[in-house]
Amino acid sequence: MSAIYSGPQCPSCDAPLDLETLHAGGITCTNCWTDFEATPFHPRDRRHEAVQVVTETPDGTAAACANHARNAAVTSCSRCGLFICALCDMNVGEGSFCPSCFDRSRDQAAISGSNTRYRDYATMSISAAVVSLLCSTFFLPIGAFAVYWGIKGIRQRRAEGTTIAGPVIAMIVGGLQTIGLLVVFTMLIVSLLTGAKS
Amino acid sequence: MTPARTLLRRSRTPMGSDAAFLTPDGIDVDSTQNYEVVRRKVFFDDVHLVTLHRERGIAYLVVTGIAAAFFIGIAILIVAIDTDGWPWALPFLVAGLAFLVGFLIRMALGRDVITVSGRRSKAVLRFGSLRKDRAREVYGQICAAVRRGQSAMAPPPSAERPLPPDVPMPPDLPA
Repeated sequence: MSAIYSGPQCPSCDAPLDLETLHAGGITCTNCWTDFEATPFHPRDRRHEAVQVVTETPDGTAAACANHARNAAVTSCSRCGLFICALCDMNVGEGSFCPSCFDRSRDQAAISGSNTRYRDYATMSISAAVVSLLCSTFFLPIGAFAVYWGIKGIRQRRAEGTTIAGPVIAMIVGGLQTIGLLVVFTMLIVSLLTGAKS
Repeated sequence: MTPARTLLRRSRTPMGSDAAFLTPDGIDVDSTQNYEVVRRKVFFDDVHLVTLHRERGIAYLVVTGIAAAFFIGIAILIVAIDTDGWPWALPFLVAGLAFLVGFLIRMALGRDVITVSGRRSKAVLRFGSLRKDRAREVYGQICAAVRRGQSAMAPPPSAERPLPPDVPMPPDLPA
């Protein structure tokens, strides 16, 4: 996805396309003469809803937004309980949040729906397992990292609903490498101690 | 992370890998670079255009062409210097032929690319030269999902039944 994307373009040369003249079926770009098959859609414009203005209730109490005194509150923040209007309601499918709570929760990765950048622990685990095999001769315990990242990777992949075969194999390889190193170290220490005694 | 996701395509590039998933409300594109995944989304209710086209990829053709020429050249050179040394040339010939086959397949068949253009973002799915059926299947799958998503957004038909047309009364017959 390009940063300067500004609407439908030719898939080959990125020249802007006129949606009004597009039709379903084969199309030839007038800029680069590339043939492509297109299916245009006409999405509905988003509905713009006016924010309700707060009105006095018969008993004298009126639920007003904490940030916009003139706007009527439509809900309350599920984290801090603040009354918020439709403008302030930050709902990404995991409850309503006020803007400041939303920012804090997103920074703490507490709202998964807002998290668009994360570490790929499964791939890190596989890489660590490969490096641990290569570095076994140097007695570097990199296999332990493969196991640690593998656990996180499995959790991540389960949440995504994708296969966990990669991190599982990486964990087995990393675990065997770590156990092998421990055995070698133990044997070395034992042989040193027995050698010193004799 | 959304649980209900169907993998549409995973493609690897020298810079990282891209995976596209079909979700109930759109298409997720996960770009991995240096063990960091950046997720972007194209919502179905934003989609203006879905296209399918064929490209050859100049960079791929140049790299595989040069590699094929390099390895086959070395193999020929070894045989030219000493005919009896052909076993040494064999690995280079095999490597060169592998690149040559890749070059020729891409040159002849190209690869299919699906582009989903939304209001503010677009998703690009690239398929291998030998996966044309899969590309066509995914294209249909995406178009159907977009159509479904956008029709779900359409206003429901009016609950009021239309009035029947006025039926003219029969003319008064003379008594």
